[in-house]
Amino acid sequence: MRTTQLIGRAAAALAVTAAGFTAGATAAYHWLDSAAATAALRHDIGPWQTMKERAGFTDAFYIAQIARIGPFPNPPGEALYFLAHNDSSGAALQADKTYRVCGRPLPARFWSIAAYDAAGTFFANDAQRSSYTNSNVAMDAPDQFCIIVGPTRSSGNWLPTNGDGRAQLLLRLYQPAADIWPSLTVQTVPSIVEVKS
Amino acid sequence: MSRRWPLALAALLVTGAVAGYHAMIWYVPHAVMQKAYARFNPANRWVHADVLSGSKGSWVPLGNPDIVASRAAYDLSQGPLLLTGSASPDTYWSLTMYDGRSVHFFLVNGEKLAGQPYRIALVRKGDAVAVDRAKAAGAMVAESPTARGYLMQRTFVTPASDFAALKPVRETASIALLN
Repeated sequence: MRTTQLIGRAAAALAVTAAGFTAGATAAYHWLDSAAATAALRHDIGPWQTMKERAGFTDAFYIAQIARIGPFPNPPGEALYFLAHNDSSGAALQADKTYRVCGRPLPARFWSIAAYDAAGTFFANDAQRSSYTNSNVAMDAPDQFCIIVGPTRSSGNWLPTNGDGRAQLLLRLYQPAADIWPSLTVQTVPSIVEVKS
Repeated sequence: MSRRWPLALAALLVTGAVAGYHAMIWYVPHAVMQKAYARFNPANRWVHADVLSGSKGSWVPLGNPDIVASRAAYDLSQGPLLLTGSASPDTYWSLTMYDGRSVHFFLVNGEKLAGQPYRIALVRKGDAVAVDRAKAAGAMVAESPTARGYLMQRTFVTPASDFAALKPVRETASIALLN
């Protein structure tokens, strides 16, 4: 084999390996927060999704998933995080639509519900409001609250959104009750229902 | 050899893809940590956020708008560290430690402290001498699997524990070399 042919083959080998490396890295990056990859870890309760606790937190893929989706969480015994991309009917949450989020006080020392855009950043708004907590949400009744999430100002609890992209809601429970899981059902977690105009 | 050449190229493509996949899985948490080290530089010094997390956006996705945070990168290359301070009373408070892969390995909260100040020795895992020194100094021991990492104090802001009132308590936090 001639030298030029060898050089050509070496260059081709290098290029193919680099192309494979790039493709593998890109695929991994997008796979980390894909619905398919997170499905195995997800625990769905109504419209809310949380990540199952992984023993030891040693799985490299799981560590990368957490770093990609929401780095530096508190461990599950200390805080639980429930993310909603969809409403209770399964339709994707949209920032230009209005939703009524209603539920009962949650079994945790502190809890909050916050609204984000598709990138996980807050919706800029004049009301300077990105969330409600157990200490500042107005209760409709001793055992029920409702929050309006949408672009149009509303009386009562209102979480502003804007734009026409996707929205997401994050429910956080700090110091959840030790026996919380059996009590978290579709009936007890907050519902998310679109308000049709 | 020329008939095997396409097969060799296919094998290289697959090998490259597998290597790229694993490299990205390794890289993502380390990239988050590099961001933390750069943001909280120099290490071993608390940075107390003077606004609620997310008030002006957040450096990580899904920042918590109800938490006021104090953060630090740590570096054990000069030796073990002693963390001292107090929990904010009447609200949720926690101190969580994350290693060089962004994995939590230690947490203490206000409930566990029961109103007492904290003294925590942060030592490299397996450093038995440092553990003995820490215990002799009457400190809790947190063993880090890596030499560098990230610390985060979270304080839940409520109407009863407003931001300004929390400031003096937050500023009691210090990080020093363990003598």
